[in-house]
Amino acid sequence: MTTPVVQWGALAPDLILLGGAAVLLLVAVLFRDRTARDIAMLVGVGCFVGSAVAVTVIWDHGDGVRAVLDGQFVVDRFANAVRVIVAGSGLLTLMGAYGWARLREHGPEFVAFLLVAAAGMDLMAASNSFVSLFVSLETFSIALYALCAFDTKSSASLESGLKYLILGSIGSVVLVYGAAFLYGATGSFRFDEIAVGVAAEPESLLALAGLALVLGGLGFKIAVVPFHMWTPDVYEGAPTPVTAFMSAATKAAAFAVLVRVLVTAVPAMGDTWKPALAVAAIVTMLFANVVALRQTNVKRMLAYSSVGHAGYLLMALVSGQAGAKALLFYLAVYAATSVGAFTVVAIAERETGRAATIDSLRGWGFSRPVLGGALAIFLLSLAGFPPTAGFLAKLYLFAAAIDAGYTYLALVGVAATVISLGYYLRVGLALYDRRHESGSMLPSAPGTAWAGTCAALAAIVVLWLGIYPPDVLDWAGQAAASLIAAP
Amino acid sequence: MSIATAAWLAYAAPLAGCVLIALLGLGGERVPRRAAAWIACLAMLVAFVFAVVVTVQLEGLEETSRSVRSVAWTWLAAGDFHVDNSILVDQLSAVMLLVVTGVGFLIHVYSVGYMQGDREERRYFAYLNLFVFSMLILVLAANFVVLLVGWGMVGLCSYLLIGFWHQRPSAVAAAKKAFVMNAVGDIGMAIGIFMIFRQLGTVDYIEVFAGRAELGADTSTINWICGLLLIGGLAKSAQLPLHTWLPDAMEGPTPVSALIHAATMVTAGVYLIARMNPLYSYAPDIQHLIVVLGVVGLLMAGLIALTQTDIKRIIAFSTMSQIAYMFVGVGLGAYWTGIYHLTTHAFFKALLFMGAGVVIHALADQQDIRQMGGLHRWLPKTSLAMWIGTLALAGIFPLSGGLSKDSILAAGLEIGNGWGDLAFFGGVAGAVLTGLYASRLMFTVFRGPPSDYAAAHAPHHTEHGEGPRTMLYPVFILAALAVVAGIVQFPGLSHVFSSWLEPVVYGAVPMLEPSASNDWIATGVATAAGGIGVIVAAIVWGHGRSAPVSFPRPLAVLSERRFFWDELYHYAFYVPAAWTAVALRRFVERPVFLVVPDAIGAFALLAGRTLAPLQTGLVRAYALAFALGVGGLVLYFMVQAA
Amino acid sequence: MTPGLGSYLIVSGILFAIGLVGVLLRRSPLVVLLSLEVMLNSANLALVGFGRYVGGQDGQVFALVVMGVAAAEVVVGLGLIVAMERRRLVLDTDQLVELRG
Repeated sequence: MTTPVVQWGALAPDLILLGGAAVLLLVAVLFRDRTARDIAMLVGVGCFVGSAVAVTVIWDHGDGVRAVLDGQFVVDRFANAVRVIVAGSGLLTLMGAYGWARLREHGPEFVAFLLVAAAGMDLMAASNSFVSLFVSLETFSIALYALCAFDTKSSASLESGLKYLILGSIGSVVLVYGAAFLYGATGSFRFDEIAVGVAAEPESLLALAGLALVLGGLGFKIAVVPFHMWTPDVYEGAPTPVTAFMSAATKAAAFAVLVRVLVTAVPAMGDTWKPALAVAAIVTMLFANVVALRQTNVKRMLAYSSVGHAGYLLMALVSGQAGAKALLFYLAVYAATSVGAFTVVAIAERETGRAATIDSLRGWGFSRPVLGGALAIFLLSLAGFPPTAGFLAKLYLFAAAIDAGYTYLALVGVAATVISLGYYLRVGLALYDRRHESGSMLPSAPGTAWAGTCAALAAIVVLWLGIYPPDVLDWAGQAAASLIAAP
Repeated sequence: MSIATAAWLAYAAPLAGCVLIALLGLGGERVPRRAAAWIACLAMLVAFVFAVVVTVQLEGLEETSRSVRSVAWTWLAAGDFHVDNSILVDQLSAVMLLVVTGVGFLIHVYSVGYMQGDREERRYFAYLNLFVFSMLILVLAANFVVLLVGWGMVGLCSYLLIGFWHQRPSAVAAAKKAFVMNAVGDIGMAIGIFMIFRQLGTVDYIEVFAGRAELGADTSTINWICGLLLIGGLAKSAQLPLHTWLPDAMEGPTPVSALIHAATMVTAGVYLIARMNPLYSYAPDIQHLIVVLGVVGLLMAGLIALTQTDIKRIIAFSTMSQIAYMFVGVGLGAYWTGIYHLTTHAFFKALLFMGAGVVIHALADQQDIRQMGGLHRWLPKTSLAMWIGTLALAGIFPLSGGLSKDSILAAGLEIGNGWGDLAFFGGVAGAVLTGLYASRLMFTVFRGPPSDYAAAHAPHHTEHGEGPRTMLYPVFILAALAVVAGIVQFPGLSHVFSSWLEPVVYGAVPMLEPSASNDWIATGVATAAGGIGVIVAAIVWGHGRSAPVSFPRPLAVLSERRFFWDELYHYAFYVPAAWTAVALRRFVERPVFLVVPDAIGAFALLAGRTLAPLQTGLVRAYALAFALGVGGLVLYFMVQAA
Repeated sequence: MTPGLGSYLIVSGILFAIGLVGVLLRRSPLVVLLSLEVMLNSANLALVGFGRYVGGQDGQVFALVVMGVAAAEVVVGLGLIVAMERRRLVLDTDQLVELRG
């Protein structure tokens, strides 16, 4: 028996995050209140930036694909791309969360949880076996359970945490069960070895049941209908910075690992899972966007919108390499948009001291030009208007689906997009409702400057990618090619 | 510096100005408001300098290689189809570049004085820079998608600037009207572009022009394409029948009228047709349509201008009339004449608007010419400059406007067929009208005894001179340009303008250039016509505003009511639309939309009752749903395999 | 006679069902957490059973990993329940319906 070699370099982006979390637990003991928070913020920002920088350093190592820890992980460009998206989401989340009152008491803990969650997501995106997949999934899930309930003074936050914990655990059990079945059918947990076993016997009932259970477990994380029911409740109840991070980073990591499982472990069963995913995509797109229409709480509306976007993204899973490229581009755009939007909502909440609803936002865009303008840009991007990146992201996604022979999915996607205009524009119009222009201006909430910077940064990213996409597209293309060979 | 770099920098300067002003706006009152004005002017100056660099360098190239295409990046790529962010710098776009940045710079400087003290000065200059940027996107575009982006953006900026004083309901209404009319044009244009893409699989100008043979000459396809593009041009250039927004657009600040609604944006339609000349040369029917619309439009607008009483609206109708001349020129296939008139028109019309702005300032925002009169004694320099502009507008030889208008008429003579004759005689009649209305304006405003209003306000507002230097100098510079600009194309002597633009014609049809004799005939006749107009005006209105005017009654009514176009649209579109809306409400909305939601609601209630545990936030209900979902998925996979 | 794979799976299935029914029917968060543990352990049993069937140690190792993870999960779960208790919230999952719609 030999000890597996540890490829420190390949794991550096994740180790930086974990190391930062460890340091912060010490900081939490040594420092108090604002000092602790400011140190935590610095460490957190440093770790996320460091993680992203480390990715750029190792981007070309081993021609972009490296098996790590005895094949438990594969650090390829695809995983690295997800790491960048996660780090970017974390960075924006930290900036947006700066003024949150809760951080004055428990800043280091919050940042530490965030870093651990990010590390778990990174590792999940690079997982190459169900063991590593499960461990990394639980790493970030447990951190997120705690983060959701972080505001222990709010019953909604506690309710959200407990709900997420209970439902998430069921999801995990289902995933483990699925892994066990696939193991029973093929004799391995590793995706590449499972692929061999499955290819030998693609009709195996045991393997099929296992795959169905795995899809159920992962479907819970990406929140596709009918496994989405936790999403609106948890997103609404969780502290808004946490919601921001969850919506952006979890989605990226979970979709990444789902793609990896589907294309490296069970490509031989494509005829079975592709139609299932197509159906799930249609149901998710239509259901989520229709339900979102009747929401008045902006956070809850964005939660349903997030489910809807998961539906669009499912299209990418059946569309091969072009689909994976479109998926990464979409995830990057969605991460910036979503974190930005939730950050603005968080500021609006802090200003008024209650949940942000369409009515409470009326005329708000006039008194807060930067935040309001940024939110308008995010809404346009979510709705897919040019020149925001949301337009290009959808365009590439739909084009990939059409090229892969799923024209009907693209058509449903367009229909769902049209439905979604109904609620995105409603918020946008409320923001610039002239009748409420002269509404009394509330004093700005603490941390507005940082949140405004975060929102402006995210808005610039969204516009920039919408107008000048080639670099990021090229990056997504390289990442997709490292996972899926061209047809 | 390469041509492409210089062009990109010219393109970026106004954008940078706009962004910088917006960023400074974040600083609140700590940053002086005037800073925005000077940043905007500086940005324009930079743009103009680079425009000159581009033109000089282009001139230094071989005549055949004076077309530089530069791709910054590919915005969208799917298979063979690609949309680039690219610019095309050639002789035509260089001319437009110079006009837009040059005249634009002068108008920016003028705005510094004009907008002084306005509470929202920063917003104004940010919009103005954004407008110039959009206009440069439009004229430098190398493919139809970028063109459409620019086309839409100038419309948006026009909307924002017309409605700049958003406290005035009339300004907001005018902005909306302009936006809706332009949206009609944009949609037409977008459909045309889509047709081009469907037919040729590309949206790149050069590829489209190269592939135009596939569309065929005089086929219904090319007619549709050119016709749809023309709708965009008609709306943007305020030509029949999509012109009614332009007079209302005068609700915006006067420099905006000068920049957008005289010198640059409204001439985009002319530029469009000149740019698309390879396509239009294949669609003679559409070209004839352009000529007819142009001739009717120039006469109609001239007649309307005769009876209007708002100083800016008179100039606005004059603009519509002069752009109609340009349309006639490009419609005849003499593309350069349209661009030539576009250029000189930019000078003298911006001059007239800016002069009108000085007058309006001196009279405390009074725009009604019946409240003016005798202003020469208080505004002698403005009066002189505006007379230069007026004579250029009336087409008096050898002022620039005279030479450029004559070139259009000469092109009509040169063609010699019925369309050419129509253009020539219509144009000459229009020249008489031009002389009449333009001089009427001048006599009424500057001659005769001042009105009580003028006597009350003008002395007070002009005691420190006619206005700030920032306002006067641009007016003088434009007056000088209006005098000398004609030198570039003098009948029988110089052909700088026409030979510069000649290679831009890709088509087989040679660019029409009239012979020297026809040129001189046209010049003589047009000058005479314009002169007659001026002289008649001098006889009728020479003694000031109180002169009795008696047009034949029907004509007067027709003119005063602007040929009833607004009423026509009201009854042709608004009223039917309102009727339809009422009918829909009665027969569709009430029975369908008010009942169906109830039905859906009832259904939802029913479904809700059945699925109540799934929707009430109960954890165990969610768990059940999840379990059922997974169970269903497993079952589905099993069934699939079996 | 040593029990075969089928027996392991049947027992595992029964445990899973018990756990699921517990989650679905019990209202105390503590008991729900308990039921979740039962479900996780049913998965562990399946893992171990398949491990025996396939040969090799992977199945057993994974089962150990799952146990470790489950412990961590319970820690957070119990922490949550303590926090709720402190806020004097009723410990009844059916009362957690502030968020819905």
